Amino acid sequence: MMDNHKEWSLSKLVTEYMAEWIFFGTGVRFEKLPWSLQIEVRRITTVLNAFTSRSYDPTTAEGKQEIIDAFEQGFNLRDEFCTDEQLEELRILLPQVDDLYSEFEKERPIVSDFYRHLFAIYQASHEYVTAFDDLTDCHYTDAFFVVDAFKRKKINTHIVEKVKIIFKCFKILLGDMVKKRFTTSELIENYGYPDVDYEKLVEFNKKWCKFHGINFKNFRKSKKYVERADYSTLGFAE
Amino acid sequence: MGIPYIILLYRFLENESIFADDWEYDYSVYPWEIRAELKGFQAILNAFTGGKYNITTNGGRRKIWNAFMTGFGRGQIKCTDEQLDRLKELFPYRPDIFEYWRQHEKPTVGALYEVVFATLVHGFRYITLFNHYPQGSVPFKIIEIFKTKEIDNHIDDMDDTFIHAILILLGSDFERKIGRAELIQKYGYPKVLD
Repeated sequence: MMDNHKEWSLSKLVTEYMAEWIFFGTGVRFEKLPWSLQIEVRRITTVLNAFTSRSYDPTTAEGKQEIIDAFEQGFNLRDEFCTDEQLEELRILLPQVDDLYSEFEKERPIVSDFYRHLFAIYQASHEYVTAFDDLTDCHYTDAFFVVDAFKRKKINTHIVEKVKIIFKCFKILLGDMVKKRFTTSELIENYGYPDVDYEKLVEFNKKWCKFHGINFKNFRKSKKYVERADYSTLGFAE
Repeated sequence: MGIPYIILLYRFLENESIFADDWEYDYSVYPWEIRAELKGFQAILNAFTGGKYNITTNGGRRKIWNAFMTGFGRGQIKCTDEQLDRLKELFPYRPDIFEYWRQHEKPTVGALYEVVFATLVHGFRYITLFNHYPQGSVPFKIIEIFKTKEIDNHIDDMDDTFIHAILILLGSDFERKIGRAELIQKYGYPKVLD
């Protein structure tokens, strides 16, 4: 999601990760992305590095997979055993089958046992709620808005409320990591965060869209996007 | 007694991957019991639509997928006032658009059907997210039940609205129930199926 970032929290990082699904959720290689998307992916990676104190690299297939695993399995904490306190807090948030928690007296779960399934629900929720965000203009008809208004009011709002519970679970599972905040200037100074003006990214995207015949309003929303990303983008970055 | 359209609809949703257009389909390689199920699906589909859909060929099952997605050839027909009145009750959040349709040009069945159907498909995919996950771990059970009770049940309830809308849009042929005897006699429904 192209945004004029000021400060990064873990929630923002996870949200931005989902927004770059065009890269992380497909087989597209880093070097095939247009320059502006490379910047966005590099930003996410540097923020991830800041949160985890690691050196993830999105430019190789292995590096990309490591980033995906970090987000989807529970970052550095994935193999740590849940504490009694964490389990008690989870029991309050996820009380639907209270009696199952006694099973943990026999075998203590690791963070990833909870986190990855919660993350899968978060991903599916994101996909459902944003399902019609990537249509081209011609699909946004009156008929669409009649049905979509119902979906947004009666279903999306419900899902968004439940996702808040999921994020509370993330906070319990990830502990201190969630409390961290990084300002953009701090990230630029210490973690190699790409220092590119927001206006320059917008300008690039406008030119890129014009070159490929995509309505700028629909940029990042075209289903043909991955195919189009295979085109050379040389000359637009300057 | 008889089979309502909703049975056919859910069989399609459950087997959507069979109909998807990204692989080469070979009906003959399926075991006979699966072929019988597919033949049964074809019989019910033809009974409701009055069509001659053929599930045994690659092109045939693509036509079926397309028909479900676009409204069984009814896509270009204009909605009637009665349909719009009923739909307005189901989708009450944009009365301005219904008013515009009443005074100006009515929408096509397809314009509404395609959005409704796509929403239903997304909801079904959401609800069945964990269907193919390995079962067993306690954390998984806790989270799966959270999802079912707190989210899936709500989506499922809301999906009833979309199914109701689909029936309104497709017309009275789809609101009836079709008996097994009729399916066997007229549409080649396999007798081995219930």
